[in-house]
Amino acid sequence: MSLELLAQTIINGLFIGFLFGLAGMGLTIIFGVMKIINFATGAMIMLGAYVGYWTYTYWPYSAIPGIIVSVGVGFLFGILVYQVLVRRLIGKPLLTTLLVLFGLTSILENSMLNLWSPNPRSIPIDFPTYSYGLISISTSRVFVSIMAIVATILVLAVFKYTTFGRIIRAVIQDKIAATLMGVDVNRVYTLGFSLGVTLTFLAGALLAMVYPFEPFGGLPYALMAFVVVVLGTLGNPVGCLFAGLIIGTVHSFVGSYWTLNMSPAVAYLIMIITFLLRPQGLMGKKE
Amino acid sequence: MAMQVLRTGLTGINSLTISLGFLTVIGILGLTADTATTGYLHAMVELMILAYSLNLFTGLSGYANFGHVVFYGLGAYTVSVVAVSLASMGFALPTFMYIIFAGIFAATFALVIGYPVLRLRGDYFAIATLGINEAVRVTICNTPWLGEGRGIYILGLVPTYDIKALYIQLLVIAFAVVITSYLVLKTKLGYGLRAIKDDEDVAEMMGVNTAKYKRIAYALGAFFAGLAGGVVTLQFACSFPEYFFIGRSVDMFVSIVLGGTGTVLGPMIGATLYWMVKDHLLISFPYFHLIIFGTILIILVLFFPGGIIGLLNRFLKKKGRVLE
Repeated sequence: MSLELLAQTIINGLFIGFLFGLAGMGLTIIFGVMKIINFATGAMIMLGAYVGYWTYTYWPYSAIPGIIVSVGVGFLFGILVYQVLVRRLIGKPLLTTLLVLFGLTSILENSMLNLWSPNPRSIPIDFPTYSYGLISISTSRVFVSIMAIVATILVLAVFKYTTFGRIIRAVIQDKIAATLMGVDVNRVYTLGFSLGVTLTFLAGALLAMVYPFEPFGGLPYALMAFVVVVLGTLGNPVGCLFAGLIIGTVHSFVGSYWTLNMSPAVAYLIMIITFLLRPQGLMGKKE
Repeated sequence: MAMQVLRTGLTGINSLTISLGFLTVIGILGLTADTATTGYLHAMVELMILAYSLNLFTGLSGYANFGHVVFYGLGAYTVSVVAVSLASMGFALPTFMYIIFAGIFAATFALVIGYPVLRLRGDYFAIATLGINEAVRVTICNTPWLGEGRGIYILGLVPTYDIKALYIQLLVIAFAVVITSYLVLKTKLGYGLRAIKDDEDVAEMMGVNTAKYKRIAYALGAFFAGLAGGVVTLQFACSFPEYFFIGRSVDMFVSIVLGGTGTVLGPMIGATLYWMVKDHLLISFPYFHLIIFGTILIILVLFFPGGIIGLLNRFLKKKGRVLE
């Protein structure tokens, strides 16, 4: 129980927290815009990881192209999925949404299995690790965190300063009023959904640089993203980032002082306590 | 569907007789056939029971209980824990007693977690149930006296390798769950649950005790899922964390949606058809079956939301009759 372990735990927790926050942000934007929970998040995170991995195998000099390709593919994939499937789900009962997105998950997972085999993969980039006393910091994690922070700032800037962002915020606040003001809801939904999917893909591509991944490995990350979204208030990207950091730190503490395997259970416990004590989340106002 | 009977004056077809008759046929088929066929039908009847148990709560009230498989897994673990601890004291019970223990434990667990979880609605409820299932699975995987990832083996503590005897017990549970579903559908509880599905706030305003109704149906569904889990432990003589696999929940969901949610006949038709189709796809297209299955699921849910019962009713209504 030394001070070094404590510091190391906190640093590791914050690093993974940015990833959780990013994955959660993808979910929360989609929910905010169209009140649909993207239950295919797990498969999409893994798909983002594989796209990054694939790019890297063709151009194994830098991690940047993989991330850019993953983001681009994520955006196009989001538009495709919206136009083919999600468009039909708006206003449908929850059960319909759940089952359709589950069907999508099985299609994606099976496709990934055929394309990349069930073996776990990872992006073997050689990042150096620096040690300061007993604390060691891997530059891959620093890189991943910086990318996550940049992406978050970009999204928030788009939300705050551009017309598109203002329109999305308007739809999140009041869909009917936005429609009456002449907002093309279908276009906002398309872009909002693909923005969410893009962030999910980005989370996957970044994750691939720190952790190994496999076609069916998405569920634990998806569940973590759900916890983050609930804790940080559904539909609130800033709250999501904070909740991501909190959950990341808790994850790291459970791993250091108990066993990492129990970390999901602790996270779900936090989620249930949140539901009971503060169902609107940390950042939400009381209804 | 029964609402339609009330509103439109259509004659309801007696689904209970059809369901029980169908079950009897499957039962006789399984008891007279060779062991392989019995095993196949055994798994099918098990899925039927699970589909009915999900239908009792989710089908009627519209709450998406995605973590329903947790009761199945807990039932399975109850049997092995009870068997092992009784054996250490030198006792052994008749097998059906273990199964009843499994059901009671699952129902008790449902009552306890139902207190916080049933206060949630919509997406929150779905996420919470999913989370509870994972939390229970992860906790079991990390608890030494529950066997961690290895599971608990009860080989030699209970009579094993007697698939026909287990099949009879499974059939008894299946008959019970069909009759229970029919009774729930036809009593105040069923009408209350369907009112909750339509609009919970209005139902509460009209004097439906929504909290109580939801809790009863939730525990009832958990009880039958626990019974099915108990049988599966006796069948394989062990219980391991794979019983909490979320794909099992999906099997149940697809079954009730395929057949028609909230009906008496639906889960049976859905489970039978789904089991046969899934088995066939798995054998014919081992590398693509999930793609085909996912596509079928999406088409089914988007374009035939009433399931097979809904399709049949389109034709039957013209003749003034309706299936329920």
